[in-house]
Amino acid sequence: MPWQAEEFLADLKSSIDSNGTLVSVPAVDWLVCFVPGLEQEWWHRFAHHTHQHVFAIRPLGGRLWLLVESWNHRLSVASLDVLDALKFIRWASTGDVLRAKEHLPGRAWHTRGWSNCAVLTALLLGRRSWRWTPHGLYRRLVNEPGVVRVDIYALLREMEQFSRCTEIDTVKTIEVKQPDGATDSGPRDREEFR
Amino acid sequence: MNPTARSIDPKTKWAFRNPVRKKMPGAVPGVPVDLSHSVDQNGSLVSVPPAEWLICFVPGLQKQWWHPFVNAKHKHVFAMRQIDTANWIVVEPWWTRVMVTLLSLADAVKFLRWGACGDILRVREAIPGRGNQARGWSNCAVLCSFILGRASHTWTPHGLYRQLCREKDVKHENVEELIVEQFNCMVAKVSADALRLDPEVIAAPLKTVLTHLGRNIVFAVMDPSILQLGRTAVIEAERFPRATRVYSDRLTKPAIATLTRILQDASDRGDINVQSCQQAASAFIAMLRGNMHLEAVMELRQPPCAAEVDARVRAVVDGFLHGVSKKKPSGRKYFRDSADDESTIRNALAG
Repeated sequence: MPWQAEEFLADLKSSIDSNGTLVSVPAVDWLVCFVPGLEQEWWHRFAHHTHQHVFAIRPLGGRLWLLVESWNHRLSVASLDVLDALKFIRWASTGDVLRAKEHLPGRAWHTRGWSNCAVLTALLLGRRSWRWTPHGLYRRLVNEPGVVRVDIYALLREMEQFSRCTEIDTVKTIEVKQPDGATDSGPRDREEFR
Repeated sequence: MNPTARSIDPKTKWAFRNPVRKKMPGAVPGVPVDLSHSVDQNGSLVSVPPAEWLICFVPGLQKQWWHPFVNAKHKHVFAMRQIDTANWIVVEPWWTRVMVTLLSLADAVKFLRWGACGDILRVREAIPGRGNQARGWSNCAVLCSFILGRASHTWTPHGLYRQLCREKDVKHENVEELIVEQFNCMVAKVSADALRLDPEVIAAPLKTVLTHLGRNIVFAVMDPSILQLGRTAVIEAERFPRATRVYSDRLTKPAIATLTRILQDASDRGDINVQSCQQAASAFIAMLRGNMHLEAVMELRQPPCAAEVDARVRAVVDGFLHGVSKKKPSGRKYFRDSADDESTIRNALAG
């Protein structure tokens, strides 16, 4: 219905903020992880030995984490459970992790030619960068005030502890009451049946 | 004929043209072996099933010099998808950054309303994808096609729209239907959880049943996601009346129906004396919510803590049972008006 669309648009136009967006979301911190590749590639010999790939991840609260990772043929934007996020953080522990706050409204540039992982991560952070390599982006970020190195082992310990606690909670939640008053957990029952 | 040309075996010599990527053997130094081994066939640490995105092709919110050269309705494109009952991920390319953020349902509804001004397509992302990084200008259309893992040679939102429309599994979406579905899903779940009664609770005295149910109902209506939904229902009542109706019908009416049954049983047993069980049930729900719910919806106060809910429910149940008790002096009203109820609750809470 065109009249309705016009009405919607007029209403929406009146509610945009100074950055031209409908919802004012505060700038958030990302964990920018510079890592070696998981599989050997022919071009790895030309790249920095531990900064061959870069991805960004951040906690969403509770068990959820948000991952933005550029692949060869797509940009993966996925919400991960803490156990899956833990795998990425373990991968990140083999390289370097920086904590960087995204810029609002940003100063990045679309026309970079080759939008690889480093370029897309710079775009995510709203950073103006002329580097096409993860290591170039690392050097650009590490010199920036406000960007800090993350103690990845402390983070890993914290996440492992959190995942263990939530695992215990889950086991408690799925506890099944037996008719004789004894308690047992569902999955273990299924295991026995198998 | 050149003898070398004859000796070429196309299966081996032109193997690099094969789309299946050849992996170089051997573990990468520095990477834990278990991580290297847990990589799936797409080269990812975690195998995530392909998600369905809502791709919104929309007119611009602010005038730009280049708008006359592009499609009237499709000047910009962004992607969004739901990750759980209350949260959405929105990926919106801006001029100088790409916004990847988590939004509540109320905020997501704003983006869906923007989508309603253009077209919304439901598209499943391709894994591992066939997108191309070397597109030169990574504008909104290019980035959205890259998120979807689509090989695309268009730089305009309308070009991407036409390309996606040609695909078989791509569906057009109606915003009102989407919002109604969201409301339905959220409210139905919360309502079903709150009104679930175990057999041992049903067999308990009426006071226990009402206290149990009342506590569940207050926790359900004071849940932050349901409060947010209530705000959205009020704001969007004019535009999406069906969504508001769903909020009302699925949240309050099942509670009244359940309570009516419980009160009817109690009345049949002779435990209480009410003229209309449905009216009594409505009054009980209204007493539970009172001003506290309205204040929480309007963000004048924080949702109550467990102790506060407990005290309130006990006070309401005491007041309600006092009102419907059989041992009443004749000639008095069975139901007091709401002001009396509020004062009873206030006194009980103060006491």
